[in-house]
Amino acid sequence: MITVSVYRYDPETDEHPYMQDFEFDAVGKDFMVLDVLEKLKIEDPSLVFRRSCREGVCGSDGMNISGKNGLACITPLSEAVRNNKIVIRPLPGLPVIRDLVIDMKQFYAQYEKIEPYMVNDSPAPQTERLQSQEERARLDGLYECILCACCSTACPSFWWNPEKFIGPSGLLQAYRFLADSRDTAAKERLSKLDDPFSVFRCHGIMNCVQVCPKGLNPTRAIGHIRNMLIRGAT
Amino acid sequence: MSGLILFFSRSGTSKWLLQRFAAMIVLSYIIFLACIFITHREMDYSEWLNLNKSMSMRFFSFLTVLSLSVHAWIGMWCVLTDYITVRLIGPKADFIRSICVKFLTLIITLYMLWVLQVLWRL
Ligand code: SF4
Ligand code: SF4
Ligand code: FES
Repeated sequence: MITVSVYRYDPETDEHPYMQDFEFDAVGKDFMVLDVLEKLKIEDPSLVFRRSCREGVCGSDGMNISGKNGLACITPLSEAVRNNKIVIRPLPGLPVIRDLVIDMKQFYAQYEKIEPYMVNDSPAPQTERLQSQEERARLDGLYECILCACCSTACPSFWWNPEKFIGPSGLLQAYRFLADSRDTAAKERLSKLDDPFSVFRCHGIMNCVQVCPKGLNPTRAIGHIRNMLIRGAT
Repeated sequence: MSGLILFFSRSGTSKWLLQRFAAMIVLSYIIFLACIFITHREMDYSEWLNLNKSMSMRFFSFLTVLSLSVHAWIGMWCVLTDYITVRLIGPKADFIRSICVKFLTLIITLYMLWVLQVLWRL
């Protein structure tokens, strides 16, 4: 038997959030945390969380599992249970809508700011815009981001200034387009990032790298953006 | 001069560069002093005074204090804009922060003037 302690909050009925403890029998199996939540939801249908793909692809079930942000669907109990207990909370730093569901508006607003689409003013060729293998390889470690927000909500700089600091996820995506050989708007992109907050609030704490369920490295991407800004300024 | 332009520009890149550049000056001053102390172990007060009286040393000392001030101002401004925000301490935050920044600027300016006075009077 393990104790599953879950953050509960329904703004319509609860004055304050509280932790609810469930007992769960894993029958010797190493379930994923999402499976456990699904089973608990049968027991208590009022429990609310987001999920879709249940295989680490859609990015909807980011949550704080025993103190570390991650995707419930690919986090096994063996990684998260300590002293027979697992504590599940919503991702920190963004407003809670209900239980484990957070309001991601601010996160998407930052994503929108970096203009996450290809900009190329030259006339479109007959077929597609081609890249060499090396040019394509530069996008590895960048395009895989599933926008789960685990990184940005683990980042103290994003907690303190979510309106001004783009956050690790948005910056990783910003670099994804800066690094793309087919994109011609690097200069404009960089000039929009050159204020004291958007990029430079990153203090290299690397919480983002530690939690990214896809094994990506936003800190490195941020370093590349900073170098591009510096090269442009000097 | 170009340092001042960097300091007052709104660009985060220039602030970032300036802060690192200032740190390098402070570091070079520390290394320089350490070398002096190691190579002149027997130095007495009059030698020490003469060293500091030289125009180049006065300039270097003041440049270091200026760099330290710039470095500290940018660093403290970052800390204040991280922690004294409406999100963290409520609607009065912007006012409180602007007071803190003014106070910081005042203290740092007074400190620089004081150092200038000390160096001048040597
Ligand atoms: S490295 Fe930068 S972006 Fe990543 S968690 Fe730290 S401050 Fe945030
Ligand atoms: S970088 Fe990783 S943690 Fe951040 S949003 Fe993308 S996939 Fe999630
Ligand atoms: S449910 Fe899609 S990533 Fe977990």
